[in-house]
Amino acid sequence: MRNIIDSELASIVTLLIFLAILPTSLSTYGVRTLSVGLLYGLAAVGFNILYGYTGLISFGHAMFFSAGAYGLAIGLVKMGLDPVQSLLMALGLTFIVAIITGYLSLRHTEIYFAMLTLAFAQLMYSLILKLRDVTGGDEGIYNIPRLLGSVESYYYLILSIVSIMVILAWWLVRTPMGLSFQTVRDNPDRARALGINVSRVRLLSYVISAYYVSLSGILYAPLHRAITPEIAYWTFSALIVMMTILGGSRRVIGAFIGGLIFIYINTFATGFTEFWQLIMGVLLAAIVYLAPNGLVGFIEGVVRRVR
Amino acid sequence: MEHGYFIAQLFNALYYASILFLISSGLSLIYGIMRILNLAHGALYMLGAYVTYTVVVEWLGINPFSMVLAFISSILVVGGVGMFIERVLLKKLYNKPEDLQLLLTFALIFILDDIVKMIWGAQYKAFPVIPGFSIDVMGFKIPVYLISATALGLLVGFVLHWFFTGTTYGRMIRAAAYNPEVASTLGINVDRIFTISFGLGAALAGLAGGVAVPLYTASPGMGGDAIVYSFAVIVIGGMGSILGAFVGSLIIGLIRVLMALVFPVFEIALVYMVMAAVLLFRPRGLFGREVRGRK
Amino acid sequence: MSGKELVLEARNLFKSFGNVRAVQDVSLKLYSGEILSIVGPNGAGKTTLLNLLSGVLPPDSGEIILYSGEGRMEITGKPSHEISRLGIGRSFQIPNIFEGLTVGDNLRASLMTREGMLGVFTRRYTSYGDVEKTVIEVSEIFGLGDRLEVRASELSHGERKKLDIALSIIQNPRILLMDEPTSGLTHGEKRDMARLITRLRDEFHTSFIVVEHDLDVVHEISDSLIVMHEGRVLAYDVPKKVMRMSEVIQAYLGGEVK
Repeated sequence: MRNIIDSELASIVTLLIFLAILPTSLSTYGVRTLSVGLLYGLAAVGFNILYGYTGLISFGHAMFFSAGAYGLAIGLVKMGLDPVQSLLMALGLTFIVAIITGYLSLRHTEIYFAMLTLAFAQLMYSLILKLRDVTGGDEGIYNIPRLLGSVESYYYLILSIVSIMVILAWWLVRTPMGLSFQTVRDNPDRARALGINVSRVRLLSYVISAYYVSLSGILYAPLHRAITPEIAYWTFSALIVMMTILGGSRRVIGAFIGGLIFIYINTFATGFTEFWQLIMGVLLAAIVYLAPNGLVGFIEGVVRRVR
Repeated sequence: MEHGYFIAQLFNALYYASILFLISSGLSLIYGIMRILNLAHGALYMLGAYVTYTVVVEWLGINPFSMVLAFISSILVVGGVGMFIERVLLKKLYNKPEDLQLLLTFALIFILDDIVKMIWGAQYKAFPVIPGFSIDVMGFKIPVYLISATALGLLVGFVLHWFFTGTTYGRMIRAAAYNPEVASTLGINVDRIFTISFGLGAALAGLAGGVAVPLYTASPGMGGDAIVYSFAVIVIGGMGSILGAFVGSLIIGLIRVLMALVFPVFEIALVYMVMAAVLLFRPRGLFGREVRGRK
Repeated sequence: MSGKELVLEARNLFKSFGNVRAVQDVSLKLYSGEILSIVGPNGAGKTTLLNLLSGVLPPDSGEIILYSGEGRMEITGKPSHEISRLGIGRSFQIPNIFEGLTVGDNLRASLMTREGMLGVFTRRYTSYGDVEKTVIEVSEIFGLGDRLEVRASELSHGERKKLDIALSIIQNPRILLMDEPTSGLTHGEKRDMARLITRLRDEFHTSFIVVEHDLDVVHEISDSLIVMHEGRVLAYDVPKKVMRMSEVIQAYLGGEVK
């Protein structure tokens, strides 16, 4: 970690300040939407630790989001626990899911890994559907208590937590641990030849990434007040992947912005036409061909060329 | 449990396994030859189902002739779509990081899902009756269709195996798969082989859809389940192996259908437990070969 | 060679891939501060041998023994990251670097692996100031001092080769296994590389096993020379003697032997 005033940190802080001020000009509905945007941003940042920085695509991250959300919801609603206990339960559940799926999936080449994460996520989805007594089955869990009085104050709670986590991510990828993630991304054989335990690094990255997404789910449950198995379905994993790539997987702020604006793109698309999946698919394809480094990457490229 | 009922369910299991086998062998083939994991494979299966449904239920009526024609149509249409995807969309990404190919096939799932919705609408499409007659086995009626579908699956399996091991063209394809650079210096048109292989893999998925639709209804999103279970088949059977796809499909088919009788909640879990066990003790799958993958 | 300490020994290594016997009954002894070169036609098994010694592949049979202040340790079959941590570095024929990182970050990453996974909290071995100093020093030895902020993917071939080797050297290995360090370099760059290797040996007392094709370079730097042919050791002695052996000349039909 060098003592450089990182331009990325400056951008992140600026953005966060902007996000702190923004609610004053938004309606309650607008604040709610922005809250979801923040949570998506958090999830994308977490996913990106594994994808952009460690080089692994998981198509199953929805399982962590649902582990967090369902863990909390089951604790609060079905078991009558207090928020702290429910939080611990959610975090514990996340750990179990992450360690088991990570251990089984990571020992394989990337393709197998992608397949396995998808399969495990679907397993989780099926379990959520089947275990009606615990999860409410396809009806889900509702009447999740709001943790703070108003939407606005909850927004600031979310913003505080997300700010800490995003800056934490910015810091993490610059530490020796973060650098070792990137060496594993760029050249695992060389990393091994330099003494890096690639498997352990990947598992660590996977678990950290899982916790970010899980936290996003935990904060989501009291916001939305009801959760259904959809949040565990593979399409949600897909959305997380898409947001990250949209914003730019080379940078922490890229993933964050991707998550933030994604909620707006998604809302627009679903409102615009029933064929919003087509729009999403085409958008993803366009990014793959035209701007593989996402929005932020594209902007950076332009800036670099202008210089 | 009555014997007849059990036998009837056994046939259901074989039918399901047959379909899974067709899907998985297509997926495995594409990966084995081109090192591409086609996430849109389930969507191609779905497309095949819709095509067959249209030809039989909407156009020609249910009879053996129309069924055969429908299957051929599914093969041709979905195979054609596959070749189009490969030539127009995937080829451009070959020199780029592998992630991008994966992401593109991922994007295709969404695109194909909605295209199907646009053409056929979002409601489920079901066959009014199962084609063909039923035979009586120990008091239970088993549609002959199930048996023929299973036989078809077996036949396709044999043909594929023979093709890749016994014919020159098949061996050329395997050479191109093993080492594209060297193969092209030997005069093999690797580009064309890749296009054809992807088309063949897609066609298998399309055929699977056609075979499936008379009993399983067609819906947008039916690809989702299909792809996940074919992943399970491949993990268990081993990537790149037709025999592996065969055995894997059989195992999963039997587990799913027979378990559903005994202990429904457990059924899905058991599939994944078998998968986990294979991953722990034989990560390459039962018949998987040294995959020339990265890392 | 006699009187110097033994640092690495390989005994009767065998490795086959199916029907291909890549390495057959190869033994060698590496001493402290020695540069041992391995030459041979393509397919002779040189890279496989290096892979065995660096833990990329386990041998079918045979032993590899590391000698250090703490005595002897058998390292046969240990995975490559463990072997690396024991002080045996490896550089590659096709430069193997971290494309997405800058030159500086490449070197920092290599140096900081010694911090361990939780080095972010404990910083046991080096302060960050020391890290920077070392990165700058090493980059200057390799002529990359002014390229620290350049992304590795943008380097020239020669620079990538140097970075690849620098990644290993910055960890101060006792032994460095090099696979064709001069391949793809210009004549001038080859001379530089040869001089660099001897300088590293002189300054850091690193021992080297160098697989090479360029016999001039081999001639200039080697203390000992092994000639491999079809997986076997054809000759193993000081370069002067080896170069005159008739079997060697035969195996190298068409090669440049002075």
